[in-house]
Amino acid sequence: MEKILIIEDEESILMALEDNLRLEGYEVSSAKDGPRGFSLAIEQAPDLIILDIMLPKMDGFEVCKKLR
Amino acid sequence: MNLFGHKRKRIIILFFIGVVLPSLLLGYLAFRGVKNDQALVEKNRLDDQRRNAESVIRTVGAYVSAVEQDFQKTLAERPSVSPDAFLLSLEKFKFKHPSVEDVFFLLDADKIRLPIGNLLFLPKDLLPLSPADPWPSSLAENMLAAQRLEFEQRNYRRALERYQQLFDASADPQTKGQLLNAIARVQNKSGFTKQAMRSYAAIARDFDRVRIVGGMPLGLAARLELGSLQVASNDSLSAAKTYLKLYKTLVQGGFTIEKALYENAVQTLKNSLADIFSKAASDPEVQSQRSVFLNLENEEREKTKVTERLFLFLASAAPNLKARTPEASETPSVATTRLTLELEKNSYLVSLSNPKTGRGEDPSERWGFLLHPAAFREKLLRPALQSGFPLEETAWTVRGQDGQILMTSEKAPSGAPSYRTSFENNFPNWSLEFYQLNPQFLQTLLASRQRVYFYMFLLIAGILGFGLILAVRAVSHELELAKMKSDFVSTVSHEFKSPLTSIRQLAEMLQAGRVPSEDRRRQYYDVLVEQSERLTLLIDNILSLAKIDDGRRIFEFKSVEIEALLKETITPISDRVRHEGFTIEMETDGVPHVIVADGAALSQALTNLIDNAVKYSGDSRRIILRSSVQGSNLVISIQDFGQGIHKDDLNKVFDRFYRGGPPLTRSVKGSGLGLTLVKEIVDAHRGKVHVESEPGEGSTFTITLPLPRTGA
Repeated sequence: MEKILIIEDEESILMALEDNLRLEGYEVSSAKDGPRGFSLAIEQAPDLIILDIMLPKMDGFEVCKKLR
Repeated sequence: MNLFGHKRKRIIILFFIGVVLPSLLLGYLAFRGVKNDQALVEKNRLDDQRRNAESVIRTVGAYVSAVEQDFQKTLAERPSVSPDAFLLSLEKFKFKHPSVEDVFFLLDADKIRLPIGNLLFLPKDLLPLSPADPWPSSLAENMLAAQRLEFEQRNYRRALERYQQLFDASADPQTKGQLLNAIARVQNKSGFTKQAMRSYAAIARDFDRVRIVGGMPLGLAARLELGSLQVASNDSLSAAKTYLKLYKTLVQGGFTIEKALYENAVQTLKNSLADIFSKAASDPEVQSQRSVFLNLENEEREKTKVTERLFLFLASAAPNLKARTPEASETPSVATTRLTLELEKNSYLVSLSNPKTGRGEDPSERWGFLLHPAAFREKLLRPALQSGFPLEETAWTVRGQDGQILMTSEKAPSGAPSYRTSFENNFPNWSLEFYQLNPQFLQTLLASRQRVYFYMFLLIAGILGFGLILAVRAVSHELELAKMKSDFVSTVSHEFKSPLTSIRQLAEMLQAGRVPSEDRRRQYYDVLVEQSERLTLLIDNILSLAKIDDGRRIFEFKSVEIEALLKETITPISDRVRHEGFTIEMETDGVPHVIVADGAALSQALTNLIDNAVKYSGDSRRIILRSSVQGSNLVISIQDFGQGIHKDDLNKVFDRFYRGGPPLTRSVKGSGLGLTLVKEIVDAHRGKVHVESEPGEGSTFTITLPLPRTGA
């Protein structure tokens, strides 16, 4: 089963995305800020990361750069 | 949004009215003041110049008077000697007064006497009389016979015998000298060179001053002959010494002779010396005489100048002096007459003692002295001018009779003279010109009384500096605002988009029935309501603020019961945030207070504050809303226990668009308008809002509103 990581701080959007993707049958995990998203990405090695740009503590660009 | 354009214009206009215009006005006034002072300084200096010039002239006059008095004293103590002898004794007086050029006396209308020893040559009429007839009549016949033997028969042996007899027989030095001269001549003609040289030497020794017809002293003629004989016998050294000795005697004024005779003699001996020096080029002893010659030549050059000058005076001053000095009877009280004589471009400063009548003196005998113009100028006038006029303020020029510049101050004058004057009695006949060296602007500025203008300029500089700082601050504020505005646009669009996105997504999911559980569905509805409210609050804030800015927002003040208002306000928020675990505690004194307020606006302000408290609570879930009366004020405070506000940000939180931290990583969403709106609303109620905060422990926002006066 494909793993998807959502890094998004807006709870309502996160909730909708999570529910939608789970219903499609993906294994979904989520994080609400940059550093936690980064560590989850390292830990779980998801197949897809949905990354918001405006994030607390570390912005999306930086998370992306670090992951690469 | 055109919120800032008019502000910038106002700043520029204010800057102009408040800073630039007064500065220009003050600057102009100060400049005028300095100019006035400058004119005053110039006027004072002109007065100073006039005074100083008078004092210089007085100093000079006093000096001349002192010399004159001394001269009068010397004259009064004159021993009973001949005028010529007395003249020589006046050397001492000359020595005492270095500016005195010479002393003279005026014997009658056309004869002036100077101590002639100082002069190389004299005018003809002042020479001692030379014999009109060379021989005394008793000798005439014998002389004629001897001369016939010498010149016609050329019988030198017998001529020599004849001259020798006559020489031995006569006693008169005049005759003896001339006879010895004839003997020497014949000896030379006879080829007895050595004897001739001895005879010439004897003449030079014994009959030096004897004059022959034409005024030529025998000594002079004999030495010239001796020299040429020494040259002829190849004794260059002796010849050189003979000529140099003669030269020395001439240069020291040893012969009182006429100008033409002097020049002729000097020319002859100079030529002979030149020949000797070139012929005996290899003889070191002869060459060693050359330096003696050069020294004498220099001395002669100097003395010739002096002699020429005094010669001119002797030759032509008498009629002039006579014409220009008053008769004794006209001015009996005046002891001296001062006058400046101009003779062929030479100036003579003459002080002439007036003849004294009734003292047994020869009335035609008048004594006077000459002042040396160069000495007068350099030793007397220049020091007086230099000490009388400050170097940095005044330049001066001394001009001669024809306007030629005789002397100027160290600092060159320029422009037109500010003051011109001449000496008393036109003595000397020079003019003094004074020039003001323009006072520098800065100098005047610093020298002005009490330095008022200096301070004025300082003040202007201060104002301009202050204005500049204000302007720079205004500009940087504008720049900051511009940055905030662009920040605002991106934040606000994000703020709009996020709730819309979630509303739309959740609505679509509900529509399609894609809901995991019944619990979830209820949650969806909650989120929908919450996000709509968030949008509403945002839109309300933006619209309200825009209205307030444009002045379109009209507050409707009514009596409002505050506790009811508070409850009304917090209920929807409480409902909304309850599921996140927030509890909003309300603490009031239980007394229903009524204030005059725009309820809706106040409620909006409180909503914003509570919303902020919720947003910035972090992990804390407790918010306290307090309301109490303190004095004549109603105080409402909202306290949270969240992240707090950094000290640096405390006074910025009410600024428009201000949001702490870098834009991309803010954990809390918002437009940056909420607190600005709160402040505007509270201001409209004549209240105050302030914040206290400790980072990590939470913040307390306090609104203070005036209570209506009871009984009013």
